[in-house]
Amino acid sequence: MWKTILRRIILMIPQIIILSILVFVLGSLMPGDALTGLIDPTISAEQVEAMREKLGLNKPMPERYVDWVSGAIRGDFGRSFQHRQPVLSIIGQRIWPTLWLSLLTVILTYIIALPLGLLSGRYQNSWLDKGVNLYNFISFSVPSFVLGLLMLWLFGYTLDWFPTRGTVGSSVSPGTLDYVLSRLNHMILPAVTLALISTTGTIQYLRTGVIDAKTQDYVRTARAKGVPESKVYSRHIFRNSMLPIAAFMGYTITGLISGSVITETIFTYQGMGSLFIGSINNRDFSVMTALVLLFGVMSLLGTLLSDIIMVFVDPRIRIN
Amino acid sequence: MVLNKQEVDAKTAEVVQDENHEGAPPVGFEVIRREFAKDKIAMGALIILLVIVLGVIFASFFIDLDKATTVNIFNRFTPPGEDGYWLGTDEGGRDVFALLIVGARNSLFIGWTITILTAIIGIVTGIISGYYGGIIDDIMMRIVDFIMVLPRLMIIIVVVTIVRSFNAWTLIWVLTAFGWVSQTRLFRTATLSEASKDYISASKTLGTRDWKIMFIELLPNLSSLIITNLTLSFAANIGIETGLSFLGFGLPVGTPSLGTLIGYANNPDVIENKTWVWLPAVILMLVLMLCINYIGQAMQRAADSKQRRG
Repeated sequence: MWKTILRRIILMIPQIIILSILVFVLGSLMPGDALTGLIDPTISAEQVEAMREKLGLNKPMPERYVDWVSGAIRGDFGRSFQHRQPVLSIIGQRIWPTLWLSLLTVILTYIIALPLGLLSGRYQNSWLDKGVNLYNFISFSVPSFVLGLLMLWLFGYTLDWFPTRGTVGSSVSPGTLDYVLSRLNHMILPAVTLALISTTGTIQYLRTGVIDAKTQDYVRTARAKGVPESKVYSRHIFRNSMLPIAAFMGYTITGLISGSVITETIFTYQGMGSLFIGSINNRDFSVMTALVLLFGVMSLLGTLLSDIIMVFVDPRIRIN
Repeated sequence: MVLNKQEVDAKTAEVVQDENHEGAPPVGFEVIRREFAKDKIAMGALIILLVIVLGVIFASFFIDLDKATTVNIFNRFTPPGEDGYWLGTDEGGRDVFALLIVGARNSLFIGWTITILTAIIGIVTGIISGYYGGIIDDIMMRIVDFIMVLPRLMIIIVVVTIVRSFNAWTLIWVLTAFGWVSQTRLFRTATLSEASKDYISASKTLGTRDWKIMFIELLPNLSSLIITNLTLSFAANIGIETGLSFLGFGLPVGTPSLGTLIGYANNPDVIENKTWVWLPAVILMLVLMLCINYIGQAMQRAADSKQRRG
């Protein structure tokens, strides 16, 4: 088993290298460089040239790549000219809202998806199953930005139940309970939006899993032994149907990443997704490249996680 | 290979059973037609979709694109029904109805073009990968797996920012460059199960050329998968294009898309008080998405004999 996992990890190394080359090339194709933002009338062209030389911006591309990568490994992504501070510290500020939002989204997703998937599988072809299928069809069809916008319009502006922008109210100070509640209040709409569109896969897998399990021998054995029906579902079937869902979790990370860019923009939520759009709009390329690299590595780690869980869960992969 | 009697019996039984089960089944379009005749909602969705598509194409002939995209500041945010604007005007005084028609046409056109391009690339690479297997398959799947995990949305946005002379075709190629991988995977899996069937081995034994087996003998047997998949990925591609245009990184200024119209709602004043600018586009988008996906799922059911209703 460890051999399989090790092989999978080694496989990731060339992927990360190609990703970093791709991001670097994209970054260097961007107009302007790290100094563009510093240029103002008080600095002469010679001084800028000297700074370029000192920062190594005049070196050939392969050398600049090596510099950039060795900086990135140490956490040095350069400075953001828009925010006038190191890229890493901006990402450090913005990463937490996104992480909290993602955590709430994952929790909500499972709160919605687990009961729906289990019940629709258990009462196959009932009105409940049909309702769940309809819900699944709609949540699969509606694009996330349309759903987010309608939620914002309906619950934010029209009904005025939730705040419409930002991550926290302006009147509360950090450290108090009000602050935490205000943060939570700002997260609900975006989290519900993201959760609603990401339940489809989980419900589908769980429903099929339960339907398949119903006719399995171990379920028949349990029934024959006189295990109550509710326990057959809650213990025997539930556990087995959960296995593919557990393995699915790593891929969820990849989904949340692309989801955060759109959702955070709609709700002007101050996380990494909106930081990315902001850095593109302001041509703040050092932040942009760092974010693409970071999100890419996170997606790679997500699939790695899923594959590793799969190895533990599914013995067939281990043997191969 | 020598089979003992039991095995032979088992094999014949299998064949007989298969024949009984299939019993001269309807094929290809006939299956789909029967499914739609049985499924009234799918039929309704198909009719609505056809009406929208034909209506949009027909109406767009009567719309002067220059006039529709010219800013006229005096007509700013005219409410619907006033001054002859059915759906009012946007912040630049442009007719929302005209933008809606042209935008829908652009979104449908781009979505469909990407769907066709990704399907062609996906079918060719998928069949080659699944048919040959071995090292070709390994290399192809490495590439596919890698592109699949890339943060696609972000990289597309970066590329859109880099390319200077940006137009609808640039967007189509960029989206195609990332879209083909899921198609390849799908058609590879289908080819793998198809290639192990007897008629392929028989054809190989007869010495048929590989390309002929792949694209003349094997490909027609994937037709129901291809039709189903074209529909579902059409919906997905419209979603991606409008999503990018919504964020402001899709179609360039002057080429309206449904996403551009919906994107006006990013302005707090517009979303709250000037609903007429973005809500029609949202409704049209929802109707399109639900119809196309429903049709796709009905086709999926038709292709799977276990789920078929008709």
